Amino acid sequence: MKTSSLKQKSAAVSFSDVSVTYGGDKLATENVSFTVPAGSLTVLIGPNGSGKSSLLKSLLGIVDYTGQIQIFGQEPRKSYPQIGYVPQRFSFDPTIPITIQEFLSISFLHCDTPVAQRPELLMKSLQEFGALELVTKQLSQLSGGQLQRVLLARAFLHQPRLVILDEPETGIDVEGGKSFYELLFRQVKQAGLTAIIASHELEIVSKYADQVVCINKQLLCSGAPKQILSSKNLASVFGSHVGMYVHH
Amino acid sequence: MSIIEVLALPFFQRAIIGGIVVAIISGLMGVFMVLKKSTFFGETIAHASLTGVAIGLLLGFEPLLGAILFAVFLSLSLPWLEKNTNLSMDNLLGFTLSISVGLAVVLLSFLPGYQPELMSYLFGSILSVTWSGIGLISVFGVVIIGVVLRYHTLLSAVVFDQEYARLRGINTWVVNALLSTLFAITIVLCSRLVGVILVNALLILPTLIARSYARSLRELFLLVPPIAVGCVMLGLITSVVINIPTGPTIAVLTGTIFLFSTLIRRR
Repeated sequence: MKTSSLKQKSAAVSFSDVSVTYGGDKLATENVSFTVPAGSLTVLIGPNGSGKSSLLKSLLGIVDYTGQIQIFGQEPRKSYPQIGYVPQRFSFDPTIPITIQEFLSISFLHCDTPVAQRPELLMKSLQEFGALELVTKQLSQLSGGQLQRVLLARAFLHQPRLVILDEPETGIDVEGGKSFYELLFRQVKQAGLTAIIASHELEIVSKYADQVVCINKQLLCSGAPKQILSSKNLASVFGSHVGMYVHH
Repeated sequence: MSIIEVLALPFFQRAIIGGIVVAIISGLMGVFMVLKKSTFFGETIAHASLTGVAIGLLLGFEPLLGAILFAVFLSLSLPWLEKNTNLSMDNLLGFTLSISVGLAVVLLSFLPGYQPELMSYLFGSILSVTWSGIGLISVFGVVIIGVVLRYHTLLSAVVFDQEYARLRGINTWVVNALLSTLFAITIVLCSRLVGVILVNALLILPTLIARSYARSLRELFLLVPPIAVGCVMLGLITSVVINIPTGPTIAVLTGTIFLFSTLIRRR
């Protein structure tokens, strides 16, 4: 999608001079401003510690920030029920025998779906992300890739308008990551959702993203993948030793 | 004395009723404590409740009520202090644990004579509970069981993934406050049975036993109460027949069952 038509769409999310500081003096991001057009797929790229996760967490109210953030034209808190979120790390006690079905069943919170229809909705969500066969397994029995699919199914359970994923490829092998992203992008495009993803998978970013935002404490660049993913830009974001390598 | 003879004794009948109620609620709340990794929190609240006992005795009202009120106050205060100071929960629990027992003993020293209440709360005294005590235990027990049955999905969701629950619009502060209150009441009632020092045996061990066999969260919640009741009844009967302290007997038998169940499961 071209940048000019992207800009014409209304903003689903807007960041204005957002700064995140931890412990009073550790700066994570500084004065970051950009918008995420409705119905688009925006990917945040940057090295480890660049502030990608901090930006996403500020959007979700997990960390404090200065500046202004709006989601669908209102303060973020009012839009939370319309958000599906897949965290970078999902920690749980592996000794607790919770099944996938139970894990998703307890996720029907503040939900208008009648109780009788929830099992069907749960199965449908798992099926959309290729995880239906996992329904009777315990959470602790899943591989990294399987867990990410289940978390994705959970994020889509309430039919969100905005999905946020923080490095969802963490803990998944290359092939698993590719199929995971293909599933995700298909669902996002089919439903016309807005998606913000923090990712290191530049090949996938270039293939699917409508907008790329480069972060390294500050906003370094933003625009269409073809414009942004040049050697010069990548060097300014990641350092001069970085290049793009295509997985085979 | 035979078991039949023991069962006919009124004090033993009261102990059975109280023991069953406490076992069920400690089993159910124990699952949430394990999910929330709040074992040390429970231990601290149990010890701190002695201060509530002392306050109750000094002011002349039911010490069990004093213990419950003080435990609830602490359970709600500690998370607030963690959020609004730079002290970690670990620091706060360490401070509370060390100060509370000392404060209880100091307060009790203002009362004349030997204080059997302190010893009964340290090591448990279910055999000496009165009908009014049974009434109090039963009322609280019914409330806790009712809340868990009605809200177990919401409580499980918040305990398992608080961040997700918050994004779904759940006021997690209120839910955590409710859980803390239920924990506090359960801990104090457990203390009445096995004593403050051994309360974790009844709160945590039945969940750890059931966890080895449960294949789902639902099975875990279904298995824990009967396991807890079985351990309490076995300990109660054994202690009376052999004439040894009840609270420690329950704790030792529960611990032994946990050990054997773990060894059997590993094979």
